Amino acid sequence: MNNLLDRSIAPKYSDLTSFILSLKPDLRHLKLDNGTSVYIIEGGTQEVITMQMVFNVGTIYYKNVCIPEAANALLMNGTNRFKHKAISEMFENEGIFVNVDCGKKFSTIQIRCLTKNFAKCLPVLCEIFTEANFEEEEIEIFKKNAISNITNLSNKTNFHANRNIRQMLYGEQHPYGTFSTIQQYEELNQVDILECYEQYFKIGKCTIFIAGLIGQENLNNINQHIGSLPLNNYYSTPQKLDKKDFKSELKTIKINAKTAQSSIRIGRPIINIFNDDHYKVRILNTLLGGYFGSRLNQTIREEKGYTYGINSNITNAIDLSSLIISAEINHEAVADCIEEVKKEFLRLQTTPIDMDYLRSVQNFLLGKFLNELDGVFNVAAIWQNYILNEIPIDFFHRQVNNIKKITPEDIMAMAKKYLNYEDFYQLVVN
Amino acid sequence: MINFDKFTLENGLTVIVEEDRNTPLVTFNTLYKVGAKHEHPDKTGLAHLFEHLMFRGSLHVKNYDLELQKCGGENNAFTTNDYTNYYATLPAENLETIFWLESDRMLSLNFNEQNLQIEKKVIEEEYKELYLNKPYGNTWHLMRKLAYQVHPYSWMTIGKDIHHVNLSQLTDIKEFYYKYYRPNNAIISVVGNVQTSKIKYLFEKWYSQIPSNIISQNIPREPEQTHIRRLDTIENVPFNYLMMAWKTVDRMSNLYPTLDLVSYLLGHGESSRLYQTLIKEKKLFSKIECYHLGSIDPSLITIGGYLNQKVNMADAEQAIRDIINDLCQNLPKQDEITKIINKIQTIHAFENIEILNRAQNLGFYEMLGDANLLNIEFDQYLHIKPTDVLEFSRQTFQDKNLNILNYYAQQSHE
Repeated sequence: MNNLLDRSIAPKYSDLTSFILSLKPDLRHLKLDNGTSVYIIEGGTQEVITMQMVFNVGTIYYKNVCIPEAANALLMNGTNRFKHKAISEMFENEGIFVNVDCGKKFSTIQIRCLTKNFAKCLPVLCEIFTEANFEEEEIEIFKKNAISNITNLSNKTNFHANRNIRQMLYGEQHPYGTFSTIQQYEELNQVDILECYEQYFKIGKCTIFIAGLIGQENLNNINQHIGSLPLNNYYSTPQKLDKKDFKSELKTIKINAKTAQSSIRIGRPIINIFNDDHYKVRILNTLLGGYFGSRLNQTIREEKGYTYGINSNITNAIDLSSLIISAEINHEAVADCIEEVKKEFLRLQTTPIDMDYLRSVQNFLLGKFLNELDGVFNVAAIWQNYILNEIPIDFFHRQVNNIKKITPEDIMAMAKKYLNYEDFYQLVVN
Repeated sequence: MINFDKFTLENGLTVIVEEDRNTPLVTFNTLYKVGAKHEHPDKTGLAHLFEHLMFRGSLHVKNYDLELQKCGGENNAFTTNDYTNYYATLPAENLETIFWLESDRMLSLNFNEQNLQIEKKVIEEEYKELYLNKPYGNTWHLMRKLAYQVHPYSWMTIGKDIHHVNLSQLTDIKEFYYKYYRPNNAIISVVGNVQTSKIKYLFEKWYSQIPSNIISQNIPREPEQTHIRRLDTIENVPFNYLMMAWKTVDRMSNLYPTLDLVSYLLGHGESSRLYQTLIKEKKLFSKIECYHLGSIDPSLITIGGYLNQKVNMADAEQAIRDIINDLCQNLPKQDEITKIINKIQTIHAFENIEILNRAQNLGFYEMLGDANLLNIEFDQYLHIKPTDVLEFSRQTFQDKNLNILNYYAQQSHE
């Protein structure tokens, strides 16, 4: 057998366009006594649980974006009865991990633990969501450490590049173009933080996602504890997300430090997921710079060695989306890199993609989906995104079908519509 | 409990298989027992450069990534000081493709001068992005050099100096490959929706003809440190940074679980000793961490932190020493030990959910001597007593084991 093995012939494989992908396990919905929604994704093989408590507050609700960030970050840092250390220990003693995150539209408290310890986190969470006191001293430590962190980041070109390109795209007044600054941290005060807490956490709207091997008893426990909180589905409408006038520009920024590389960002606002072109544009973006085998990475990294990696991403796809190409690059190669990006746009507009290459991208994307559907926590993350952002459930199947039926002509049409360099903002930081 | 099968081919290749019917996927993980510590001190960075070249085509496969993507797979690799690990996840139906791809690059690579030149440039940019264009990016370069004077842990995987990578020749690359990238120096773990009998057949088919080689391991031993070492440096960063690193036990030592537990006790979570005392009470640091390298040869346990404005380096060091002294003088309460064991148990449970993690862990533990350690190692933590922590701390946290990096911010030093 072995002597006959011909290594130059690839083994047969199944094309993923014939695979049936479905969003399983399904989710169950439950309303607690106080009206809070709980979405349950039961499954898995390990006796573990993750729970996300999602509150309708984030940086877009505030002019000073540090206020919700501080309220979220300091939830565990003390109540009238317990100090920060005592609260941390109540979780940590039971091997319960708590993570907090403040995003643009939502703030999240994530719990991860063994199933057998889950019930123990509930009384502590109730304490936090009714009695958090945000002592001055805790706020001062938070401010100081946040300012240190941002000062450290200010020496990095990519930090400035990531912020500035969004300011260029959305405008500095727009919530998506607004970032925490040292001055904003300095202006933080107890009154504002408490107000944010009272309004959005204590009596705000909370949505719960729980996944793993949960069991009915734990669901009863959740209702008994969280279901008795004064949460009342209150939430205000955030600041308006109006687009600024669209006018592309080129910009170069020099930072006040010795730099070893330049950060390049080339981006534009782009249609969101509710637009019919969305999935075609996603595939176009994948081809352009969305994975290791993408055109840009092949040219800029694999052929020219200018960078450790170049990529193109579509972000904030729910409201105002943007497509941004990013690379940390050799100073001398900046001009050539920009030329190559322009060339690639033209090539995608004028030359149909080779069928073999397109097939590999389709399979790569479908393989990624298969990966994202593997395991109860991955599936829970997809459901969570759909529910919070009010994405219709059939979106999943539509996008899978769109990947399966994309053609080289579709790609060319999308490139002509969305990849015109004069529509892009270009930024170099060094 | 992870149930797996293990077998060895005649050419010495070790294979571990875990069948998991709950996933449509399979992860194929190849661990080569070669890392930066196998490099010559004048030719460092080679193991990592080599990892890059593994994606530049093999004898019969022009483009590894493309072939894998065609059948819906994803892959990557990393290099450590001890080993190099390549992994791919793909639909289980397309399993044989990964046998074709991985066996071909164990058989022979497409050694090519042009590829080498490009990859050198890519690594130079990687070096700049990860270490130079980043404040505090060189702390570990400095600490490794200070703490290891003979042992090759003295350098980072990216290389002692970027010029080493630039000077490497195709002949060095070939020599390295035929010396270390042989089946008897590799462990492959396959985890996912597969059948062991089919896997055995595929290994016979694709791997049994690859020749083995005699592999010598002559890693110089680090002589025992006898006194405290210090290094001062002034850098263009906004805040002073202090790092203290003590020599400690290797990964297979029976004290390893205690080392791991002590690092958690000092620095893991907001209830930990370092966080509560130095950030919250004394307000000396804005961020502080404690961790150990977990290396196969004798390791380091380190405490590193960013000093607050106007905090003196000596005061910061003394405050860390106070915490360490307390650990060396007073028995910790059983509750504190139980807390850490509970945390490690949760981490362990989550860590082994994904097939990729299980495949990597099975390979890693097999390299340590037995893949089954993945199942039984946690039990050792359950036996750790307060006296073990005290004894370990007294043995480890001595000045003769200590290396200190004083990393001064330019402005504050002037």
